[in-house]
Amino acid sequence: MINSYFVPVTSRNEEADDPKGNAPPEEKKERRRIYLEFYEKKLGIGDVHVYIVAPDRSAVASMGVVQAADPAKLTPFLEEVVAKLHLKPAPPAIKPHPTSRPPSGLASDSLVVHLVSRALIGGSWHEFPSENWIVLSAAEWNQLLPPPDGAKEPWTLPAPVARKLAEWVYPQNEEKTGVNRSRIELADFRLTPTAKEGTLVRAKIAGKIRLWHSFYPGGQNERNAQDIAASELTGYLDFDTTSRRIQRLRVVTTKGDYHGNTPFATSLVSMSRETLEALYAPTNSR
Amino acid sequence: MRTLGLSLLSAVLLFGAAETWIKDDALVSDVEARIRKIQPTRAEKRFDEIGWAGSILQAEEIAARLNRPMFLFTYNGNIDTGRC
Repeated sequence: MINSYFVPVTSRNEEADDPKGNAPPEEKKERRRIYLEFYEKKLGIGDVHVYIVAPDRSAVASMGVVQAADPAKLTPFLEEVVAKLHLKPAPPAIKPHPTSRPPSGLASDSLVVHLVSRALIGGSWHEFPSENWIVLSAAEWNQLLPPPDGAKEPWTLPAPVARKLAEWVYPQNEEKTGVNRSRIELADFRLTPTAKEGTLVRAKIAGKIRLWHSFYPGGQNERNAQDIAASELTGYLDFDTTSRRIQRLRVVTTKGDYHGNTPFATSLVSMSRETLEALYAPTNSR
Repeated sequence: MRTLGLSLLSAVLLFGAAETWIKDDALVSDVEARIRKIQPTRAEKRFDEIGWAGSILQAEEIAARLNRPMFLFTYNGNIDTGRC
């Protein structure tokens, strides 16, 4: 229904409503204008909120997120707007596309790792998994490899790249910025060669992570005992010893616990060039 | 024979040498099975079934052109990744 009758758009408060946000000034100004018009017309306002704006940019109707999250409430609300504005259904104005994507404009020799982390119990904050896109520069992903001629003996990842892989290994909680605020106590990844075919080597990964991460932002300067995310991981790294190129990096938790009462699971998967290109396929508007 | 050789050479030049991989083993099978269980399901990615505009200004331009209202959802955090 949203695709057929409306032009959908999201607006992140930290970008477009915060004076320090990085949205363009014109975007912020228009966002503010919409908010004030809804306020002046007493049509409802909120930080997490749905606003219906007519094609002439005038305020039509709004709904708070608590109600909007309920299809039994949102659907009749939208049907009423459709009837009021005499709308006709049509194909989506914008082609649907993946919204979770790595940053664009990456160096061609970057290694992009897709992280997915989910709580394994139900409840609030656990309805959806969290994702992160970890970008390793060539200098960073080279640290995943053993020293030249060292692909026969086990090795350990250096701290900087180990921490970069570890810092998002916890389930969903409240976040407002994209900046990681974990305090890592342990990020240990040990690799042991287990298979060799020509110049290709597979190394088994055994990892342990222990980090402090407050559930709500602002608590990162405290170290409450319950704010620990502890996990054990397994995985593998396939690489070419001659070209020193990584074919596949796969890491996944075998155990994970947050807060002492929230089991979770996290995966880290390197992305191929083809997958990255598909994520950024054109999304033309009508 | 010469024609066959030229054809094969052309195929290699056109498509490049096929990448070789180490054969999957029990470790790979176990890790991949664990990873699959964690990935977002289609139901969890229904948000992506909506064609979201890139900005309010873009949405308003399209809305005016197509004579459709804008559905604007404001929120905190990163709704696309679930870290919000």
